[in-house]
Amino acid sequence: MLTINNLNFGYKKNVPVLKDINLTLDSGFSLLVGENGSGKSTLINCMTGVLCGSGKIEIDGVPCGSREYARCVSYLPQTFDVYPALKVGEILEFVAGLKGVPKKEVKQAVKDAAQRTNTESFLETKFKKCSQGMKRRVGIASALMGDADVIILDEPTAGVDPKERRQFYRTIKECFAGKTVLISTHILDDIESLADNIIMLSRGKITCNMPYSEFISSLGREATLEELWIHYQEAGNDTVE
Amino acid sequence: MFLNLIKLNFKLIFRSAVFWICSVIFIFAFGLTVFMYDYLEFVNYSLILSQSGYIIIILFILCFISAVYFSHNKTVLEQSCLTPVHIVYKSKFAAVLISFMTFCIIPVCFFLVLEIIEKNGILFFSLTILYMVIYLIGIISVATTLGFLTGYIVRPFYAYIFSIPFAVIFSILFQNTIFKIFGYYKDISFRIYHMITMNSFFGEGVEVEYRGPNLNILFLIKFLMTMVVALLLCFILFQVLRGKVRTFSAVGTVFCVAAYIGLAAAFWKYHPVRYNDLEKLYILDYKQQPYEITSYSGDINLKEWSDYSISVGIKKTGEADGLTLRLDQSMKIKSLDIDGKDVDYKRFGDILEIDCNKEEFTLNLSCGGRISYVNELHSVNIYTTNTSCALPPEFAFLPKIDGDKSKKQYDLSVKSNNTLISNLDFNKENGVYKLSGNSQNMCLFSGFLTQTEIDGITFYHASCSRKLQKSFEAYYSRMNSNSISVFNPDTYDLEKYSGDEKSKVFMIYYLYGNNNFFVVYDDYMMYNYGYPI
Repeated sequence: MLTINNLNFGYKKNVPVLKDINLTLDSGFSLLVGENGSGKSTLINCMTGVLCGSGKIEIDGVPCGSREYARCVSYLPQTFDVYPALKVGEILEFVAGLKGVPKKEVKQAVKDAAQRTNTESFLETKFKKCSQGMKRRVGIASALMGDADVIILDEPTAGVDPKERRQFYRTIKECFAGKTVLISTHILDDIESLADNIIMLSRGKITCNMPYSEFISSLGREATLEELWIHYQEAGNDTVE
Repeated sequence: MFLNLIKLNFKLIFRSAVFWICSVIFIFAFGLTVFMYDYLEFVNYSLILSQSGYIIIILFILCFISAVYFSHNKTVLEQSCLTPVHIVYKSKFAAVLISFMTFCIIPVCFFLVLEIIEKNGILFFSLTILYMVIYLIGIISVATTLGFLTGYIVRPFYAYIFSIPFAVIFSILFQNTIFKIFGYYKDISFRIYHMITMNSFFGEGVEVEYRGPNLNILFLIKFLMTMVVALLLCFILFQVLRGKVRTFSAVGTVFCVAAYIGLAAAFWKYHPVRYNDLEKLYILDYKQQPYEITSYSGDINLKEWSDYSISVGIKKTGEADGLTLRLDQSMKIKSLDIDGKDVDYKRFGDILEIDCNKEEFTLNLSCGGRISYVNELHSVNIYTTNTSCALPPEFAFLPKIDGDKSKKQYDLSVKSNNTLISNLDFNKENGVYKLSGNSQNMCLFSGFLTQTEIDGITFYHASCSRKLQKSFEAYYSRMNSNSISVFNPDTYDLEKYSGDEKSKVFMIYYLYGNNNFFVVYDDYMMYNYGYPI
């Protein structure tokens, strides 16, 4: 379980980007949504240890920034634009090594991840020769390494066509079933297809954090996702739990 | 984690086109220098690096721009594993640094070929490789660290352009600017230039070819200075990567600054002293002494800090109050007595005044010191190191009396780590050279030397030269010309020479104000073979 307590962060003094964030993520797919500049990427950067704000971020008591925390989290950046000269297999082996997979088990772990993401036949292919869809699958395979409890995906479907997006949803649902998954997105299709929970950020504050079923009916009437989006973005400073 | 990251970076570097393009450029530049300067038929291939300043500029630029390139690489893969940024870049930097150190293999291969051609022996080859590797490691360390730091701070493409000003500052190209500031051809200008430059210093002068690679204390200090600069840049890089000042890096930075100041002071102290021929070798203005030296006997140990214990037989030839000797100021007196009794003495520079009024006596002297002089042609040509020495006959390594032309009896034991030659008769016994004979003066040269006997004349020369045969021919041709001019060290002038050939001819570097003319002594002759061009 990932918990965030009283997280505040600002790039400049007196200009907060994240304001008093309190969040608990349990197993299932949580979708972090918000318009551009709402603080999604900053929150993810804090959760991955790139940025350091005040407050606490922990996974079952393991603090963010520790080596153990890094092993508990798999992170897939928006563009998995890694070293083109490396082979797919080498990328996965490297990630496995860093995620603490024992040396003897690395080969098997790579094989398993490749099987689950359907990239097995590309292990000897250089990354630069992979298609965009294949690169995304390699990214998922790398997130599978080390059997992390928490998976963070940053805008994974940005720039992906609808057909490929469907394939992507299927893959991550299969691969990350039972895990705590946080997906940052502003694509409504992602919410509809994946969300167990919705976390909405507006101006650095959480304006909505609820199960998807509640979210849909939260206006007391049948509303479209666009309407809900606009409603919670305009909710301003009031946090809705 | 760090090892995994380093392994990954090695893979990336050795698979990158940048690394291999840089390697090819360096091979081409090195090869071009070797062939352009005709080193394949030349003496002492260890001089290639010091004589070819442009190779160092090329190497510096290659390392700098490569480090910028690799510091600009995206680190998405490492980020996806939640690796802290400072560890990602530290490992990248370490991999770049180590990878570019492999450039040392290129000169090693060239030197191996040159060694096979010249056959200078394992000692010469090993010392040359050691010298070259130390020298290149210093340059690669600074260039890579500076490039990586610049690349990390300056993300835009123009970070590469910084290689030019830095290459200028650390190379021979900056010499003119320093000379403009501190004065042309002044000692201070050379010292400051030698302290800053990455190029081999004294490459601007003619180097003594039989010395071999110039591995001495000054070279070691310069290397340490270079490494301290690289380390200082590392600590700055670490602080930039962390985004804040950490105690370890701050202490490291202060340590590096302090170490650099200390090393710079040592560099200044051990930098060769500029000398003038008329003050150090050819003393024309002196007061005739009513004394003669009759003999020298004792032990000499030739190394970077040489020392000796000798007994000098001196005879009075007229009325005098005291004895004035010439002894180079580098040689510090440890003990001095006359016939076993302590006497008062005074030293002023090279002058040693002894309070003595005996008719005939023995001066017992124990001295030690480091000799390192550079002439006005920027050539370090009076020196002693652990593997070589150049002590011409006029130089007051042993005490001498100005104007004393009498013949002396020599009986000396000289310890030398390399081949020793002298105008005296010498033979090697149990690693010690026994020197004996009667002569007006004594010269000692050691290094990578050998001898060839032709027509009853023993020619002493550097052991490394494929063009030597041509020099013998040139010698005979000059000796057989009708009006041969020779340099007279007593008058510092030229004169006609029609005397017999001497039994010993030194065909070694010999540019001690004699402008390449023969210098003839009572029992030997100096012929500058020097640095054949």
